[in-house]
Amino acid sequence: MSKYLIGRLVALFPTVLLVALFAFFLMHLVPGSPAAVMLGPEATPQDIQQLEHAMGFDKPLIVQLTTWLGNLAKGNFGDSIYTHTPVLQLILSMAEPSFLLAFLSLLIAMLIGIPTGILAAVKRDSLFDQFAVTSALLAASIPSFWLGLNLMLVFAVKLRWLPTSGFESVLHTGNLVNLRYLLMPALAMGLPSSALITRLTRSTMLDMIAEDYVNTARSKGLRESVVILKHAFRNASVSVVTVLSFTFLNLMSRGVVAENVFRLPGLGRLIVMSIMRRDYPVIQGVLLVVAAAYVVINLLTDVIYVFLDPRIRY
Amino acid sequence: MWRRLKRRKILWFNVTILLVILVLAMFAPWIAPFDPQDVDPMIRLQSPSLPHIFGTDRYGRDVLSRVIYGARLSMEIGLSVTAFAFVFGTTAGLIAGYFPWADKILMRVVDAAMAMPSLMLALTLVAVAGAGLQNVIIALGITFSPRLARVARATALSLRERVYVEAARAMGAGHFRILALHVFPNALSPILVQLTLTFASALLAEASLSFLGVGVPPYIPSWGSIIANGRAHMVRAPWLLVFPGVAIVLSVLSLNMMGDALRDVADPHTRKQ
Repeated sequence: MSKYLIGRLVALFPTVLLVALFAFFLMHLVPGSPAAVMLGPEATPQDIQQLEHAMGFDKPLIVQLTTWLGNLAKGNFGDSIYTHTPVLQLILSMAEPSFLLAFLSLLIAMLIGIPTGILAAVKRDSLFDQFAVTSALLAASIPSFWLGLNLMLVFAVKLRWLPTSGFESVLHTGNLVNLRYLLMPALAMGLPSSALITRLTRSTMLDMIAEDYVNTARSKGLRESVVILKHAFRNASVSVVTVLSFTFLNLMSRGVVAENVFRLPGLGRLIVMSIMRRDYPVIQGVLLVVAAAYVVINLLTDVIYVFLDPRIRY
Repeated sequence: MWRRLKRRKILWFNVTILLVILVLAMFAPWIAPFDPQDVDPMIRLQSPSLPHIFGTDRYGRDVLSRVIYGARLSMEIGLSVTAFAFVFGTTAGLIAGYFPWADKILMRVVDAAMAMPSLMLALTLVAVAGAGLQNVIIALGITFSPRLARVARATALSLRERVYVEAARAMGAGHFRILALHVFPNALSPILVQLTLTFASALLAEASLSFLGVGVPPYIPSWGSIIANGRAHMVRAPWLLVFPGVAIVLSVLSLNMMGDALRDVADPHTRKQ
């Protein structure tokens, strides 16, 4: 197992390195000097030269690249051009809403997707099954920003149950009531994401229900609910785990728009603001941190996968 | 295959919906009742009624006409991105699946591209390339090609070992000929399924970019930007939210259902599920 884990860790390295290379060359793909682009059209040649020198843009590309990669390895992502604070610090200060939101959305997606999928498989070809399959397709077709605005209109403006926007830290205050700021965006992201989980749960459950051991369990006289939940679903849950890392990425994408709709100070807001300000070091940083998080989650799901399915041994 | 396709009512129903949207998009100047840019402050934020059946926005522009012109932009971007991904993604995927030496490099790149959230990647590429229709198409094309490459690769990988490919090789066919005449046509159905899903993802991504105000210039009517502009007035004028939103959902849903029906036909193994 540990050999497998080390192998996986080593295999992850090229992916992160390639993302880092991509982020680096991104800045150099911009026509003209990156410094000129960052400073905008009103900058004087002296300003541009000064920034070029300060950021090392006047050195050969290979020197810039090795310096940059070396700094990354030390956890130095450079400074934001706009706020002049270290990029990593900026990202960490805005990471909480994003990751909390992704977690909450995933929870909602699973709470909707798993029971619907199980029930649809058990009552296969019934009216409920057709309803579940069709509404999963519908849910996957709804843009999160649009769903979010509609939720806002109903729950915040009309019913006044929830705040329209804003955020208060949960981790720093320990106050779970602050989760109310995340409820609507999490629903706007979680409902569309539940589609994949519904469909996957349904199709794996259909496979499992046809298995011999489920028949055996049933013929032993076990209650149907025990057969379905303990025997069939336990094995089906393995496949749900496999889509977790993909769902995380999907939620990060949806988070970009949801955070902008609900004015949450997260990474999605940060990347959009940085694009408007042409703050390339921050854009690079966000891409890298999210890709690294994805890679780690990918590894974790692999581990959980092995844990859940004793047939897989490394 | 064709007989099975013909029997799929859901498939044809959704093809029809998409065709209607395409016709609206192509003939927008003749179909739209008003000029989408016509400003008339006297009738600003009017609720749906005749002659403005979808209401008007904060400048008194006709929302129905703007939604029809929005279809034009969405279809243009959706089709172009799908074509881009088809050409580049399929080629890269088939090469990776067929030539083991290319597989390692190409799939590492695909892995890296797919380790970034699609919308963040697209946003970044647009930021680097600059705003504009063409750049949005390229950015979304680059974002969605890797998924297609993965599907094409997996199919090519399994086809490589087939007897007819080996027979062609034994008869002295070149690699290019085998790829073009034997592997590609047989990989087409999973690629087709993935293409409809790419189209749907491109529509959603374009709507998100326009909603964020990144990409296509704001004077071109887009479903995403109509919603973004209507947002400030959504309490007083919810129709600014409803109609473009329904347009997005309807077009994406019809593509998703098409993809689903095609998958059922292409892959008889999962059909019963």
